Amino acid sequence: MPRLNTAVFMRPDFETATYVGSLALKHVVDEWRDRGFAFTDLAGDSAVRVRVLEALAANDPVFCLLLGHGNETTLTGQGYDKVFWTCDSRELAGRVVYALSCITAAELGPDAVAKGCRTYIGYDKTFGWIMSAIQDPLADPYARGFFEPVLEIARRLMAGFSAGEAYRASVDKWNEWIDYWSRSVDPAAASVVMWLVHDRDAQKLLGDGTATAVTVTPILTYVAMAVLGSLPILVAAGISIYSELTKKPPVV
Amino acid sequence: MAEEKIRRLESFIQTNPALANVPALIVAGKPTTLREALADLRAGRNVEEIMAGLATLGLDLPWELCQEFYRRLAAARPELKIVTLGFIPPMSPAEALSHVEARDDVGRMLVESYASLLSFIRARVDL
Repeated sequence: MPRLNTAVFMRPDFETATYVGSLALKHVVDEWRDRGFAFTDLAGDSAVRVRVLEALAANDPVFCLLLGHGNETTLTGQGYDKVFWTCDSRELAGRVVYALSCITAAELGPDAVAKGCRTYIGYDKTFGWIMSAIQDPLADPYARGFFEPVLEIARRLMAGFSAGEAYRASVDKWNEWIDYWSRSVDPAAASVVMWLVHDRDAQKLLGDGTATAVTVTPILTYVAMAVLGSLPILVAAGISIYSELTKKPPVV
Repeated sequence: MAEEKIRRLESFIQTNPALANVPALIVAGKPTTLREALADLRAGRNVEEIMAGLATLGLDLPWELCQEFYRRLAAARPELKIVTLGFIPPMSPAEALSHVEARDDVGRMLVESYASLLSFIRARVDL
């Protein structure tokens, strides 16, 4: 039984697409670390099959976030190293997998689910985006709209939401960005809308939508956010009450 | 009927300016944008052809329209990159145009994506 609160991240970075994708997923790694969860971050030359299998065997993580080039049957890592392929996906059994890759939800994903993978989120067509420069996509005016929906899936999962809830929140993000760019008069806006629509429609959840990755419940996340959000008000109120209590009585 | 289409197109173009200048249908043998189609409808030109074209947006593979789309994008924003995670090197709009013109596998993927955009427009205009 894979361990909750534990993840493996695979982030190849050997050419433009994986380099940019890896920069985006670094945000997930940092946020996962900040929450105190266990993880193995296989970045760069470590993003290969042998290291992924080692991490799965050693830590038995429930959540696998796998970036790489892919096609219908195969997901690859650094230097196109074949990591998982149809008929060889048993190691994903029981896990919640998010494959940020092209087309693997067409055959590899269904094959993995048939072999026991609990949830597989991926794309059954090409995953593509528009960008103006090779940089962190969240800093790129065009690429940002493509990677916020991607990060939303991981963020929701680490906040305790189910895979189905994370998936739907991601679709909501895609729709927000489609609306944003549809209203734009930027000459590149139509191409951005085209790829946003394409990626949104290609995003698929296979298997169990009720699966979760962490033991935190969403309600605790909301309470923590509410407390943190109202902290300045509580402090101000405390200072005000304190100053009232310690105010010297007027001299009559 | 045409009045209803005109009203919907006007509303769509107003709220979705990014999509108003997308080559969406072939009218009189030429790629035509929704804005141009609207002008034609208002003037009573090519009405039947436009009405038929609007009803089938995105249902066929629009090779010619896609070519025109990337031709315009290559002229307007040549520095942009189209990046995928599908074993395809990043492309400039001009390189994408070359693939569409060659009608190769990458070109087909780009045209399918363009057909999705036209289907999206058809659904959003509620044609």
